[in-house]
Amino acid sequence: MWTFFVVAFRNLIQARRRTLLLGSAIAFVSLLLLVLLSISKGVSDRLIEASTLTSTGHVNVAGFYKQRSNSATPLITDREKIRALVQENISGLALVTDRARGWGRLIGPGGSFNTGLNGLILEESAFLKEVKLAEQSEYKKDGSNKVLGKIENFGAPNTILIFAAQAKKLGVDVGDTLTFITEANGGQANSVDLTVAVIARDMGFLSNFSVFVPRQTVLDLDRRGPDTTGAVWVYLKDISRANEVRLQLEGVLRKAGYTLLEHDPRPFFFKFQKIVGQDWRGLRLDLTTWDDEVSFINWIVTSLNGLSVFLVIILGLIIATGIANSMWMTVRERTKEIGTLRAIGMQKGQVRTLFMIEAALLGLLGATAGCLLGLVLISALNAAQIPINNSGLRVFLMTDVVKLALRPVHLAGALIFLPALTALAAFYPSLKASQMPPVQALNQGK
Amino acid sequence: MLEELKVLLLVAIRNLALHKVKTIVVGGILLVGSFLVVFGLSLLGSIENTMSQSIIGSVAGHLQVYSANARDELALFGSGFFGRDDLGEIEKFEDVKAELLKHPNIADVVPLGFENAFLGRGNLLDDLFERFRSTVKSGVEADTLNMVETIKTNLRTVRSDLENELKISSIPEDIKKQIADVEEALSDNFWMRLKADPESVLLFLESRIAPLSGEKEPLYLRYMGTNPEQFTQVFRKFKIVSGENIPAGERGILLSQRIYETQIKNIVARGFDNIQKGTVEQRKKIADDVALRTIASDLPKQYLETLVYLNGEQRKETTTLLKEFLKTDENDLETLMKNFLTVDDSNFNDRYEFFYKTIAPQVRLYPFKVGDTINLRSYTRSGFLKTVPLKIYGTYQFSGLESSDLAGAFNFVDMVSYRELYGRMSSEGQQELEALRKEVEIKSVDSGSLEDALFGADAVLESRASESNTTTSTTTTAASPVMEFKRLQTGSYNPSELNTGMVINAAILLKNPRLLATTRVDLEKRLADAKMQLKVVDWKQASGTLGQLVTVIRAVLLIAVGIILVVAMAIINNAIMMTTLERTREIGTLRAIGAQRNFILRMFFVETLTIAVLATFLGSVLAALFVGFLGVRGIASPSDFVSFLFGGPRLYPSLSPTVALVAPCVVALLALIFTLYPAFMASRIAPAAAMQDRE
Repeated sequence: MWTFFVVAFRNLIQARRRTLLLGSAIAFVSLLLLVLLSISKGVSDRLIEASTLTSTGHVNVAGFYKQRSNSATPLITDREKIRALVQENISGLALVTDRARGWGRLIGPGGSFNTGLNGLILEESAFLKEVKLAEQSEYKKDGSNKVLGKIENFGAPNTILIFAAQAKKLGVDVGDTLTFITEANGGQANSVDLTVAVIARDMGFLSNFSVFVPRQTVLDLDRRGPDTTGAVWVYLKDISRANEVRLQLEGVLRKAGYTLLEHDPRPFFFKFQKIVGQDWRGLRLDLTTWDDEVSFINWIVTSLNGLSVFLVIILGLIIATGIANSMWMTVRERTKEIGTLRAIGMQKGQVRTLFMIEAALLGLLGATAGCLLGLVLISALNAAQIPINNSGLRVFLMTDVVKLALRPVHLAGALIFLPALTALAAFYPSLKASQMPPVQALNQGK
Repeated sequence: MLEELKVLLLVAIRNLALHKVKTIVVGGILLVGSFLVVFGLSLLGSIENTMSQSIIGSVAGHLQVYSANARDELALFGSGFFGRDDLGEIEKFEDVKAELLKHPNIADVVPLGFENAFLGRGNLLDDLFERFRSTVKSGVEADTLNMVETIKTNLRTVRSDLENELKISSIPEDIKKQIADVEEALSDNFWMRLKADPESVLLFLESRIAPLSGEKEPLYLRYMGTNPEQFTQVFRKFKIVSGENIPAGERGILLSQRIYETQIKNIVARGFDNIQKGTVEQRKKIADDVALRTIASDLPKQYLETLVYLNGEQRKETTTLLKEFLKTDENDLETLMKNFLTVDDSNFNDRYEFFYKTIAPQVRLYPFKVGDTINLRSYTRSGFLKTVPLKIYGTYQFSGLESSDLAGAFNFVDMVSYRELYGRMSSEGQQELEALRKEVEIKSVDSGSLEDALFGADAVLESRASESNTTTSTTTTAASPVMEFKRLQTGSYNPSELNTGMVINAAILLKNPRLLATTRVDLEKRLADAKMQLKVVDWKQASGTLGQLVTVIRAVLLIAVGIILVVAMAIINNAIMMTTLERTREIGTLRAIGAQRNFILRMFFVETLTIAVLATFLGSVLAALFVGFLGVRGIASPSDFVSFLFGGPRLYPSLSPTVALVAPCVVALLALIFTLYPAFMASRIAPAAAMQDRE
């Protein structure tokens, strides 16, 4: 077998020009594939990043508490106990925390809007250090390019972290005061004045709908006791286990005597109406995974992936025909050579194998070159931090600079897929070549 | 010259025939490429066309004008925030309209303004106590006693509700006091007072007990203020579904039929509607479809929503009917209803029919109907919460866009009510207010009875959070001090007010939409000359994120087509290169017998050109046929959102002749460009090469 590889390799070197031509085409294609995949992966990474920061853990133990049969409060009791149950029964945890959920109107001097409140437990919010803060110019006309707030300032009672687009809308800067007023809580409208501690950079439109405050602020606003919370957020070391952990937790919590709602893969705020209409009262838990909570924007990732797949298929077809054509020509050109090989005793199958190995080798060489180029290009693009200026693109790509994500599995995929494709494309021509009687082949060569 | 071309063409055809595989590959790729370009661009063009009609024909008009001082950009279909955008104000709409109408291409200018409101849904006890008050007043003892029992039943529920609240509250003392109040209302002593001092009993119930029953979750409504009659005339897709348009001079609201059916309607009926839509229109099975299965499994849990409004008589009747339908001996209505609502593929159609024929007439299908008055609560521009009661005059929809949430996103109110919710009074109202202010009574209302005040039909009420005694440092307080004064305006106003005074933005309709771009520039100049600080934007810009979505789709599609073309060209280049290598001897021979380099170059070009023209135009024709076929059959919209882009439930794409002609030419030209290098290489082949053996 090794001989085949050597012969194939020699053949490639001998036909240097042809190898270079075809090889560079394959390299180009693999480069393109890598960039495409890393764009779509980049977007879904941003989605995970933005959503697991602002709106969901990897797995959430949330639920509804119905004081009255016609109410639906997104709140759970037994906070300590549920957290302990998660800690004890789930392996591979990165962090277990919980966030109080509030809802109401944020009012600033320049405007007001409704938003969700994320009541953070400061000691469990190490991620805050990673949050990128906005320069003043991002939310203020003629603002300086300095970052004004410090993340350490956030966390004192009644401080608030908002995002750049929100600051722009509210017309506030770091240090200013906002008023938050609750809505529709059995007729009570409670309010609180909050000091803007920090203004963070936007994360697509997900960050428009939530602000961060200390947990106690939410509890005080809604008059909730200390053992209540909005949802227990479970972060795993491996996010792909989310659904498995959700199912496992369902079992654990049922066993602990909790009643669970049927799994409904939608964000919690889509479930109010249906919960309002149900006749039970008290607490029912609702377990969701991160992609349930962002299912309403997952279509961006889904359609991008769909498009990538479509492109890869079309490109694959074009490339396959191109390669098949080249192989066809190579074989015809080398009829004499084949005749000679057969004449000196090579078997049909061996000829076929030789040609296919040659093609696969060519594909591998091209793909490797393309992958190397792709690595360089993608790192260069990421390093360059190219800003996205179109606000529409910013919203849909959930980032303000170009960020591509390359996974080893993509590299491996390109390195396997392309050689396989070239080998496959070479199959028919090599079949034809091997079936030619040696005498005829020798004659045709002239 | 012509003679040479003829020779070249013959050579090309011969070569194409000789290298069949290469011809098929190159031709095939060019065909696919040109097909994709023509098809993709036609589809995109059609979507842009239908979407523009959806946007222009619903609320945007061709152009929109608003203040140049706006801090936010106009985004009719949402700016990505759930709140008020700062769009500035058009101070005097009449002046702006007059100025705009001077332009010959302007057909009409419609005043607009939009905002989110939420709708308080009231609570059950309010209704009950109101009825109780009139029963007591009527003096029929039997009726009164009957109602006392009903009230007591309800109070027991309230008591256990409060016990639930106690478990999650941080102010247990307050809740305990509330429970004590309920206990008192349940005591016999309390009811003993009814005879002697009915007013104290009624007051206690209304002010202390009613607020405790709590409200349903609020409903958020997006509303748009306009001149209703003018709007109907200008936007032709606008159709009244039930009731009538808001008459000039009257205050009122027109609800979107879409919202009425998908958000306001009884949730059980909605469940039936959705399953019916899925199983009949989309031919899905409950058993196979996750979404339908979820709705079906939720249905029996919502049974209360069908029973809560029934009185004793109706309960009996419904029980009998359900027993008959279900053929069972069960006597418990709750159980019967739960069983009835447990639907699957085999029984759904019968139950759907029975529900609408027999159950629905007994149930309150809609919490409010045409003719009712609802309280719209909204934040004024300064953050006050304001409530305005509005009569529902009817429901509307946009023809062709019935199933689109985006097109049905707005509920229309008259401009005068809009201004009031916005924080501006009508001129009459301002005078009245001025007169009344002198004797205005400011009183503090207990936070618990805030809702009473809000929902008193005759109260206009404002509260501002920051003006309440909020403490910044420690915790929170109820936003309570409330200014209350008698309702100032009655239902009507001077109709001319619809077209005068403050508006936020205005839709401009053009006589000739083709001149949109130039008209926009003209208007901006005209307004600037008239010293009006306004800007004019086209419908696409005015649609906000939605318009950007289309830009993004377009960009992504063009990039995709670009990538495909680049790869296709690389492969074509490669294929031609390979043939060149193979044909070294042949070309060498040609050169040896006297062909000039130029001839070789041209030979390659004519060869590519021949196959390119044939393939690309064939591709274009195929794409045209396919688009034509889809144009007749239509492409079904996969979702309600997409139906807005499609301008209806199906998209009927049409071919753009320009694209069908230009696209193949561009692809062919690209192919020629990519022939340059191989052709040049071929022309460099020395005649001597013919003598050498192959590589």
